[in-house]
Amino acid sequence: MSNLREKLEPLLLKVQKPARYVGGEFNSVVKDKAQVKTRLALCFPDNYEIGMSHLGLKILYSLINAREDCWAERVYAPWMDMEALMRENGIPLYGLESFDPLTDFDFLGFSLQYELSYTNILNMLDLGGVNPLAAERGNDDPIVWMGGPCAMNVEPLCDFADLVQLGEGEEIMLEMIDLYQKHKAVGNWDKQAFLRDAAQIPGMYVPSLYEVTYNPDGTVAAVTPKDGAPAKITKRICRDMDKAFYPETFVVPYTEVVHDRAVLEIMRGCIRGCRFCQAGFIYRPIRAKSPDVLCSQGKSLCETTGYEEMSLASLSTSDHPQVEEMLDKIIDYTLDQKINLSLPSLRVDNFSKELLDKVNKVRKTGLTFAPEAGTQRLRDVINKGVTEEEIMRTSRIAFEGGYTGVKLYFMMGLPTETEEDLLGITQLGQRIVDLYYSLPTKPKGKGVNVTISVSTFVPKPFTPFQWCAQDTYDTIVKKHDFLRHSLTTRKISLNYHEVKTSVLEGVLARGDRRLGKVIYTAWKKGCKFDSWEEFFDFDKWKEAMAEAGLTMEFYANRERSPEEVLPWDHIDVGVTKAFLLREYEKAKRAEITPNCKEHCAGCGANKLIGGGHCIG
Amino acid sequence: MDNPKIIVVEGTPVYDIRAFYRKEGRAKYISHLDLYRTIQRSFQRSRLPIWFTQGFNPHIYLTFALPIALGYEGVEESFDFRLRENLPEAEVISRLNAALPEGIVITRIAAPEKKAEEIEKAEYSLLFSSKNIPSGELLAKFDAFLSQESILTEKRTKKGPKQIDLKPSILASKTGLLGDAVSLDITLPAGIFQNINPTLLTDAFAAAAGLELDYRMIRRNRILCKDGSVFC
Repeated sequence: MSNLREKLEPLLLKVQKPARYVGGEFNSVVKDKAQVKTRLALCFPDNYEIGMSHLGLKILYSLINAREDCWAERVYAPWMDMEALMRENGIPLYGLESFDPLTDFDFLGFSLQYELSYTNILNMLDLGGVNPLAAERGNDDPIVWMGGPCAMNVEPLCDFADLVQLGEGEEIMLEMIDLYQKHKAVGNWDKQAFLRDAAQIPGMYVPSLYEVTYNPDGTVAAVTPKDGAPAKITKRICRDMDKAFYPETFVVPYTEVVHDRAVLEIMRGCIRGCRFCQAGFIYRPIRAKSPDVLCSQGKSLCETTGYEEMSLASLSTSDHPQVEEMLDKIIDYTLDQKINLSLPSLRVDNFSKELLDKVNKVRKTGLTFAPEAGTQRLRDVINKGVTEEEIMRTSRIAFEGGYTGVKLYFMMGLPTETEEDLLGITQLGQRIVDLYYSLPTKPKGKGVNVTISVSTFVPKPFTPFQWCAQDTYDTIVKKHDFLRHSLTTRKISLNYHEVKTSVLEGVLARGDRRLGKVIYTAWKKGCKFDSWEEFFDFDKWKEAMAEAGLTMEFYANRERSPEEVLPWDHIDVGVTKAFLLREYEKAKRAEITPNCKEHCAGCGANKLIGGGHCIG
Repeated sequence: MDNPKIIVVEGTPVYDIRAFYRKEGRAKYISHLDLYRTIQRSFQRSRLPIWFTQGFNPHIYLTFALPIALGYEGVEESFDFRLRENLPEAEVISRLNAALPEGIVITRIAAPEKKAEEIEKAEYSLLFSSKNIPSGELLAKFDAFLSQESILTEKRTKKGPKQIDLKPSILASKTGLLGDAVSLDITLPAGIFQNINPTLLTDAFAAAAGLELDYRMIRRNRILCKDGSVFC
């Protein structure tokens, strides 16, 4: 038992959910540290419940631990109560497998899933005894590397990261470890020399090897590579998902986490091309696993974890090229084993009667639609291929089948949005309510409940809307009021997301390197767990912006011209800037683009799989 | 098993089994609800012919006679489950132990003899100290606290907080010093009718004395029935 664990023991009964902090979960991997060459900490900058739910880190955890010479551990952000006790008792942040402090690791990897987790990265490094500022870390300090969707524009975090991996980590991570071990074996360890060599690994971005200059108006003038680093860094992907590594098992937590089930990733990428959706573009091209591979992976996961529930993960289940065969096989297995299968919303129009009966045996969650916009015109602008007709048809079938509630998801603040589009949101809700009461099958004495959930649109890099101005805080608040007043019935309940967090999300999403100072200052002022409404302190962020001489409006509410050098232009995610611009122009004309299955739109992502057609 | 307890559910025999287990080390931080889930998943992993409840939403049948609180170690805890086949005891134990996480160990299985309603009391051992004062002084204060005529505290119940007197609940107690900590061996009412956890008493003491306690160990040693026998 390590010294740290002994010091920890008396504290654990003083905090909520101590099982978060003790490790020892079934299938967690403990190795002899004397027998491994390289130690990596996989850090998720949020609490245990969220971090343990993340599929990407599960894949990397198993992948690295499959190597005998490496040991990967898990690190999550301790909750406020635990952090206070750790600081008070001089306990550094540690790996859950070894109880060794972060300073004992070779690599500290952070998963970037959402912008509002950034301050937690700084806080976790600091709590682990590691300086958050890359420039102030020494030659022998751990190497801080980052990856995940937000890494596609990692500029605001460049002050803190040594290395950033772009795209899917399965291959690039192992190459990085090999290079590191090679440098270590030679002796005379020189971190800078390692980083220079790492920049030559395709998909590896070393921020310190790029110099950014700015125009007088604050926009980026140029990003200039040095020491032989490539001018453009292209994201990495797994070309063949059937051959891509997938864990045979997951660590099974004691305490309930957000996604506490076997997760089967069926596909990467999306054919839909909804113009607001970053995931829809940065994960292109579409690559699916075959039904047989999925069945064997799902079986292995369930058997080794004992999970009683399995879910399918992808951006759109229905778009799997062999969706019927896949579902048929998976449902057979789960029914036989008494495993609950959760199926994200499916389009079932074309299914055979037999398969439909099987799908209906699977326990359904609520009925949800994501029209995202209130009118067909605006849905065409965002290229969301959901029609009102479809929603009404499916609702009718659902109501006739005994459902009494529907959930609708919308975004507010979409480009070209007018009052008519906002009214369209409540009108659609009203038409669903009317439909319910018009049906003769309506159960007696039971009302209908339509829930409308409205989030704020945040323009993201690598989408056709990356040039757009985000609605200001005041505008969104006014639109909320307008929407609330347009409600005519109590059968509709209206929920909003917090607006202030969306403003900051917008700033960080399209930020440049100058925001590093802002993030640092905000953290110094006490900001952390910013995605938790109860901890979010917008005033501190405003102060931090002002102290850096910057404004939120510059980043969030400014329309960019197509000629402007965007802070992320040196990153290549597959889809070309020319394609995104074409899509932006089409959006302004409310013109739709067919999905990839119907017609190739020439987005450019096919070059990542060596050209040709991605699907169909 | 040699003397299985067989019950017939919808015409099919199932084997009712009580497993006795130790809960120690890190496993003590598993709450009751989490333990329930953990053991269900362990059964799934063990591939034992476990019996599922019938009905619309079948789940693994699992029941605990006396749940154990978070932070407590247990020496002879138990849960009941059912198998669809009669298997040798040693096989059930080894397959289950292989599937259980660190810190939960099945020590034996048997056909259940007593009912949960027969449980009357439980014996506990605790070790605690306080950063505020030396343990000798802590012991003296704690002994004085115990020797009061009544020990009033608030207990959380399903109907909200309730004022209770702990004094009559202390069925036996012995205090002492062990290393740099105060040791307490105590017998308290347990079961579905009245259940008093020892930390209710020590937390009441800490609050009354204005001290912060560091628990080094909280362990339930035995669960006893009304007739004085050990729950089995």
